[in-house]
Amino acid sequence: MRESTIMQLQYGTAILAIGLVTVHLLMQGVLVPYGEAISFQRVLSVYRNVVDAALLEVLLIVVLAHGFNGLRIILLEWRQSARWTRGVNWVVLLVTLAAISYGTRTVILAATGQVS
Amino acid sequence: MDGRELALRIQRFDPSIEERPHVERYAVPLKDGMTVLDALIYAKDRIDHGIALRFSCRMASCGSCGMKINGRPRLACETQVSDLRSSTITIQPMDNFPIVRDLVVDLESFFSKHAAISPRLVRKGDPDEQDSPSGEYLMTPQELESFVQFTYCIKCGLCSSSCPTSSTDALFPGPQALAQEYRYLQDARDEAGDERLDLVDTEHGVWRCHFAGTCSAVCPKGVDPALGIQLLKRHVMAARSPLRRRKSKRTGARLFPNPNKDLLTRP
Amino acid sequence: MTVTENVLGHVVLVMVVLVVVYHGINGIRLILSEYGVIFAKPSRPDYPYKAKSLRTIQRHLIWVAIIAAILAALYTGGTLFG
Repeated sequence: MRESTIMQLQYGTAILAIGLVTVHLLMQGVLVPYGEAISFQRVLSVYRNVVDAALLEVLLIVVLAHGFNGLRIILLEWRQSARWTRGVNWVVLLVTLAAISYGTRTVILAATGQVS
Repeated sequence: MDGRELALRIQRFDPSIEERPHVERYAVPLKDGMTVLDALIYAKDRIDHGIALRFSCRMASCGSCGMKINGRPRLACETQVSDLRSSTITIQPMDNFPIVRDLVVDLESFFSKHAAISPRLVRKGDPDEQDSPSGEYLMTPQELESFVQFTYCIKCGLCSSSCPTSSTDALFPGPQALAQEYRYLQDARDEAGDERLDLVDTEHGVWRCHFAGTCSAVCPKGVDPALGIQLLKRHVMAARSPLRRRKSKRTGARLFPNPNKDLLTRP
Repeated sequence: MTVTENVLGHVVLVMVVLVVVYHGINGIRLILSEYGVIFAKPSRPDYPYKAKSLRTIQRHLIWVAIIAAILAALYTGGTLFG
């Protein structure tokens, strides 16, 4: 994948993340009192709403992709060799996919009421 | 001379016999209108012949005397001592380059990165024209204005010396090479558009610039390499966009035949 | 819950908000710059060579990012510690 394509994804995830985090903070941190917002049952109820759960799932993917790609860029600037570059690209991709999978699993479990 | 003195603190280092740099102080008589280069030449000429430094034109045209003066990369020949507002001047070699000796740095990587971006006009339709010219390529004033400021680069290395990415990423071309890549990309006479984009659209290419802006802050000729790099990024985005609203290369400048073309060919 | 529901956890969260808000707004500045939205056209440089890429709008946007980050951190601190 060309670096320009990766950077367009980086910028796209950045814009999406800003929008989704703003919505998330407004819904959970401003419109609802803080103490109530972070209560376990309240958090679970958010996931049981399909739209909210979908928003949070997209937020998860977008933030993890943006964050781990940023880490990839830092690591590539830190050291330069063909082996290091290959290793960083693969490890970051795998860690990103693993983190997204684990997060999605959590979202699904919460949304389907398997967590109480 | 009026008795005023300037204290020069010069970093001295000979890698062949020393392990680390050290600073030596020199007292130089201060004169009105004195530049840092004047002070260095005085110190070298009258006090310590062993000070190694590069200089040539003395008028900010050749780029040879780039060094770090009071913590900022500058050309010594155009830095007035009075502008530094200090009776003590600390002079060190440029950052991000290996030190050859004292204030002289190895610019081999700098020039090789410049050479790697193909800093010449590439013609595909008429490759023989540059060796055996029969006319001139025409450009509109607007086409020239779109890149002329980047042609003022004197390859002094101050921009690469100040670049934070260049200090960690050895494969990063640096602000000078990237700005020159934009210069040739934007030149209407050049026909190597897509190849130029491929050179910079890499893991260690134009995208590793994070727009710190230090290159433009230290450039002594107003080239503004940061502007060139951000415009280059925009150019790459537009060329790689699936919508392709913009062509990656405008049509090249047309050839205007010269009636005295025999005078243009080499003997 | 006890990981963040203590003084140290709240301090860390305030710092996260500070950093994320600055990073986000500065990122918007960079995207606008790199897409040429807030960039001037190149032109022949004249002494004293004021770089167009370092124009006032860039400094102002950086200050906007810093001030917004501080305000967001203060709000977060007020919410968490209040």
